[in-house]
Amino acid sequence: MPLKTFLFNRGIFTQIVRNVGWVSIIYLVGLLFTLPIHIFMMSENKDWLMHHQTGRIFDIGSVIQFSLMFTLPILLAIFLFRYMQVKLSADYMHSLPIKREVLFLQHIVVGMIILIVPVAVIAVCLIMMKPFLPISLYSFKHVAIWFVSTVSMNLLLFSGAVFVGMLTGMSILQGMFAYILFFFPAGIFILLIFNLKYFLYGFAYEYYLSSSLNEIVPFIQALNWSTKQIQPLEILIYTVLTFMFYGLSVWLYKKRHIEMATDAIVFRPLRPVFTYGFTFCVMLVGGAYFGQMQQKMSWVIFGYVSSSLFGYIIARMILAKTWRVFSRWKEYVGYVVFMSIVGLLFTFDLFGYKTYQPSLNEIERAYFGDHIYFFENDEIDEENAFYYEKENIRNIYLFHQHLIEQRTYPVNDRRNVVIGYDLKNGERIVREYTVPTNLYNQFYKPIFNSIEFKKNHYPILRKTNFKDVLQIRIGSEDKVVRLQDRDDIESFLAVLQQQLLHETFDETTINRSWGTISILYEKYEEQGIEWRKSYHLVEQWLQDRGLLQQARVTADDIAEIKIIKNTKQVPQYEWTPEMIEREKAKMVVHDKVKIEQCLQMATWGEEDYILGIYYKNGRIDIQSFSKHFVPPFVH
Amino acid sequence: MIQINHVSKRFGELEAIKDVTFSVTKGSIYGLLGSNGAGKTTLMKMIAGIYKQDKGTITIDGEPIFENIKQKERIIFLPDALYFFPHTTIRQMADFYRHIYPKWSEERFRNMQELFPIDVNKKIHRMSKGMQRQVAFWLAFSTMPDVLILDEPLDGLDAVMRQKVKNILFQDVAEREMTVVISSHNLFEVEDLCDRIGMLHHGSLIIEKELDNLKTNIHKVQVAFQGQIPFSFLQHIDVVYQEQRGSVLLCIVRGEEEQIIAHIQKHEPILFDLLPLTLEEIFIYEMGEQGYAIENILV
Repeated sequence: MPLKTFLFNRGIFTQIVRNVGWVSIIYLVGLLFTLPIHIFMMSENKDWLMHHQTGRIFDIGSVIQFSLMFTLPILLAIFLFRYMQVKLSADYMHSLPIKREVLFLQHIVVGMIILIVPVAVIAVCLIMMKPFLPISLYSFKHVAIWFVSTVSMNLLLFSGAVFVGMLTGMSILQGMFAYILFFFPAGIFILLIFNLKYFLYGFAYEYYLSSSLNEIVPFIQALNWSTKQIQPLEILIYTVLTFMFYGLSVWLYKKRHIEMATDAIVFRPLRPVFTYGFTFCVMLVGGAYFGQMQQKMSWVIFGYVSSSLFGYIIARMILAKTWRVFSRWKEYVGYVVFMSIVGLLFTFDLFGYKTYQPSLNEIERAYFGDHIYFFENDEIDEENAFYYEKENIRNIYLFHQHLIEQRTYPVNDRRNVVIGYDLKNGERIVREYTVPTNLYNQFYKPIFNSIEFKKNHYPILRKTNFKDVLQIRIGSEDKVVRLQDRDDIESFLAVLQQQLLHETFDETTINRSWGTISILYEKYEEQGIEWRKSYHLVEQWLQDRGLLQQARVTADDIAEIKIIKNTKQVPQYEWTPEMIEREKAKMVVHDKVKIEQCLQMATWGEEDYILGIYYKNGRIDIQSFSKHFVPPFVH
Repeated sequence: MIQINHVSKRFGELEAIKDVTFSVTKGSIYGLLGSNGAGKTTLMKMIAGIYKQDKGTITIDGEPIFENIKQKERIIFLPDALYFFPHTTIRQMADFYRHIYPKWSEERFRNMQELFPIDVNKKIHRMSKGMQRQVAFWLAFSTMPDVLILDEPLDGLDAVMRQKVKNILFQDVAEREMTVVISSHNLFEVEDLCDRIGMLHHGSLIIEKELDNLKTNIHKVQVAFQGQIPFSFLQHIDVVYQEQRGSVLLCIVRGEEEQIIAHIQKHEPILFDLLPLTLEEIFIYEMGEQGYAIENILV
């Protein structure tokens, strides 16, 4: 009896239920229409049933389900603890002879009941209506998982919202803080990474922006529940967090001064944390925005200054609850000075990040690529970008060294270079640079010409037999040759391997190709390889079997070619057949050998010569020559 | 017995209560006077255990009041701005109080229906301010409190209702030894109620006195003499204030009544009156002595 009176007070209980019971009703009605009623309604629709057969209850009416899940617990926390945020009711409730712990506990318990009961009722409904459905839409286990997932998320959001409610004296801020609380850890991380990029030359920001960041945002995690079932560990984490939030809330509640109702931040020591934290976050948003839009350091700095000032003023306004806060500018100056020092620390690289390279003999393997993806996913067999051979590691290392020593700013043509090392002691180092396209060819060359690079780059080179190859398609535009005969496949791939092993870096930089060679494996996996015009072995192989005509355009398909010296450097894509006709100074080629030479050299995107290729079937194609690669008869 | 010992309270920059010490004996009525913003409400909320003082102690029957459920069950605090749960009727509020306050007397609640002629099933929020205050008193008295803390309690009540409430207060103090702390910015309102009075100004308690004491020790004297006022007349009595109106001298004198009469008779005045002072007058003169101008303290 004494325990009962201590923990439970009927008067308070009735009052809370009368106050916030409607949340439970809304939730129940909302779920009733999204799940049982909706399912009954759709149970006559065969397509719908087939589509939802997998037991993914979160897929049914997901928009409403998730909207309710993401808003009601937070609304409920706001309404439950509204009594603390209004001066009159705060005074009144705390004049009653009830300890704060008990008051808190009763509100929490009622809140949890309000959130759990509707979900439980719907779960029971789902199970009871199961026999009446034409097909088995879900199993008992599916419903149980749905129940546990929904309840654990509801309680997590609810407890978080209760927790922030203890920190603030305003209901509207409680709501905002609740969402910020759950987005903050991922958000601040992303912001920091986006901003570090501007200060740390070589910072591989993509490496840190991995998808695992999503997992710390409960909202995103929940949205994936229809495809990815909740894991026991996930439930455990949510439960632990929920209880942690409750614990912190009670602790704060007992320390809270009742007269602080209507204040933005209830605990005075937290006010500077709020002011500068807010300023800092807004500053990072501004810096990242202007940096992404303009890609210039001056704009980044502008973003920092303008948005931090803006953030500071807003934070001050929230705290003071007035817009007349402009007299308190000295603290802002202090902030700017502090931030400038931090910025300088990064710029002058006091931690040696930008110039750091491990010693060469510590390196177990080196990573070299134009994006970060395979650094983390090295088990994927399409492509590999790790190098084990000493010579290659050395070349990558020297390239990296050169990038550190001589920083060049790309203007228009840029490419990404990602260099990483796995050290013998298990440490990982990764850097990412954007460099001008052609400036570093001498560094690319030795790496690209190595056998190891080719084996990494072309999966077909790593194969010792071709038993699992079903078919090969060699084709361009409207022509295609299909190889299905085993002997043909074996012989062609052997030739292709030779061709690729002998490919040089210079070949890869010239953009001239006939089309693609695609290799179709069992299980319908497909690999595509660019069919470069320089692949003479492949050409010879097709010629020998009389397949060349079927695989690509030849001189036999062409009526004539008109060549124009593009003195005005009009870009190729702007040329039209009419413009070619209008041009007086042009060379017209009819000779088959010359036409074949033209086809071999023709490419897209160059501006030195423009080619009008007139097919016998009436089609007209416009291509171009670079002045470095022209047939001997053109001058 | 309420004991307030060196209590201070700050609200940020503002020092709301500065080192206040006083006590209220059991079964007495204590009047807390002061203008708006003097700190009355803050002090009362601390006595009611709502706010926590920064310094000092507040005890009721020797126990600190803050978060002390046993003591809070015996206390009712009626704020100047009343709060009721939204959309509740008197009956629902009464049920709530019944579950909260163990000494709740349903019988008393029913009996008081005669004094407060309001339908118990009416929603409190629809009522007028005065009626809401009546409901607050009704509910408060029904919990049989040992300590009643009233912040500007009589605002908004008509004269008849005021008298009714005062009567119940007196009755509870006399019969059950209820202790009352009552605040007001209006002296007349509490003059006939209080046993003891404290005056707050800018957070400090500037006067604290027994009301009877206050009244018996200070007198208004009107005298006139044939010719000049004798030189020695004003020398051997404690004159707080004097004013000449024609030939009549009006002065406020502190001291025992008999002594003052004897002293004045000795000078053979042609006119002599000894009048009692109103509470307001007493304060004016007492505080004038301490360097305060009364208009600034009491509105």
